[in-house]
Amino acid sequence: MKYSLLSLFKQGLKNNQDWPQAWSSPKIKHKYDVIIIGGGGHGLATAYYLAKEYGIKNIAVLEKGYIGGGNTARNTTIVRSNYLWDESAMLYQHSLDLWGGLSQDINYNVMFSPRGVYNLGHTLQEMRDIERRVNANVINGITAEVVLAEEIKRRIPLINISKNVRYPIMGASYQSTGGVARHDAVAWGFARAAAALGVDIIEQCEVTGMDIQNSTIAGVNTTKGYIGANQVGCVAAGHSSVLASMAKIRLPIESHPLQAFVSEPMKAVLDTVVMSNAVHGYISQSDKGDLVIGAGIDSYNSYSQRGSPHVIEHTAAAILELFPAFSRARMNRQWGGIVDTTPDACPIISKTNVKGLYFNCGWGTGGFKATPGSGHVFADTLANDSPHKLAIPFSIDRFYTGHLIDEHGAAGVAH
Amino acid sequence: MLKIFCPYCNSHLEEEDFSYSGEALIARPSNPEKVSDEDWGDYLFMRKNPKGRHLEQWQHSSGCRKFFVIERSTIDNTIYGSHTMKQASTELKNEKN
Repeated sequence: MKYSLLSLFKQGLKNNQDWPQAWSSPKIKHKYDVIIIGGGGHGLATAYYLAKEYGIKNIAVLEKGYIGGGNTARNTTIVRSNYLWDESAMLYQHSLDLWGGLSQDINYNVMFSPRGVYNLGHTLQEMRDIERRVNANVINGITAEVVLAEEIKRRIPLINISKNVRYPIMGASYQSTGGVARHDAVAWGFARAAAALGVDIIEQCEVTGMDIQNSTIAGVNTTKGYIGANQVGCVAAGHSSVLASMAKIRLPIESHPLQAFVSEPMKAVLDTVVMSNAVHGYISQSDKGDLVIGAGIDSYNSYSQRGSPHVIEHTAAAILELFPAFSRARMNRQWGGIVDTTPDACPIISKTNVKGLYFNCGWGTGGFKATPGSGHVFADTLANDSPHKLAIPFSIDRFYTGHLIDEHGAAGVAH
Repeated sequence: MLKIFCPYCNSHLEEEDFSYSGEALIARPSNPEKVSDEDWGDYLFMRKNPKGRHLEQWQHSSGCRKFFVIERSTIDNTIYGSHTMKQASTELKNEKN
């Protein structure tokens, strides 16, 4: 059923008792053309674009828990494309372009809000890096500008630009076309749209092994039995190494906790996104009124989805240096995800030496913003058995050729 | 907050006294000029990243500043043992799969 003003009205007359389920729990088939392992934003987006743009009918998304329950549920919802290198900037910009029309495209309100993103500079070198990054963006046709401290204060009244702090704000890069979106809605929206196109979404189904014959994928073993497939796309974020080892593939990935927390809801006090590398933290305010806050990863490898308390303390200290007014805000909820970090803070979108097996991973701390772009590019790669042109630089081969694409600066999250 | 035992200082100390240093017992190729790009890339970048027991390096950066190896579960953070680099490279190496 299409969500519309008319359907809202008609369903309202029935006391909202008659809304159909957004997606169903279908019976698992014996074999699919394509299996997507990982029912997060990226995996569901991949399935959707595969069905919508390439007309592939026989697709299953296997999710070991509930869809969107992994990193998709745990990020701080920032969307932007202001990365340094051409290769990465164009990939994130592709995603940003898709964000603009996404709610209309999938007929689900993902609450994409282009309220702008500030990346603050606190030292001369940071300002030089910011100028360089902004220039690179502008050359590539990506919206970006440099703003100085006084202008930032004019636009963000609560921010602290005092010189009496350890690292005073000097200026920032500003991307007006970036902002935030509602993370859960992205998962549910893509799931609903994919299901409507015939994609089977199978939850509580964990892949436990891969069936590879003559260096070709034949299927997967799962907690719900064996499922055959012509092609398998792995989009499992923090669990990518677990899947890769089933195919005897090694990845340059380390899984780390990335923590985040939200305050109690409050009146609108922050209408944009603010990120700082030096005074490390990033913050925005959701439409529900909670301050959404995050910072760097916990240093050790972990799949526990939780981190150490001192990281939260350091994050809070950074946020309070930027926004002293928030010192009395009470924090409501804190959690962690499992981020798949790579040596160059760039993703891996790649074929492997197993025919029919593909990996889309390594988005690390910056995957949410790439959700539609990643899904779209990976769908193209699967449909053509060949990397999409935006994916070519992100092949796993770059770790053997040495052609890494270093985006630690623009990633904005301490590794 | 992890509680970590430094095998040189003989004390259990808080996580903040240490720095993490990644997967342990990765052997640097003895002849870097001769290895293939594949083997060099594997040494530099590829990691086990297990969901389960992990042999990893930590440095006692706020104390003796030496490196050592602990075995920790990446699922629930249980620490199974703390070893000096010498112990790790002789005893653990044989068990490493």
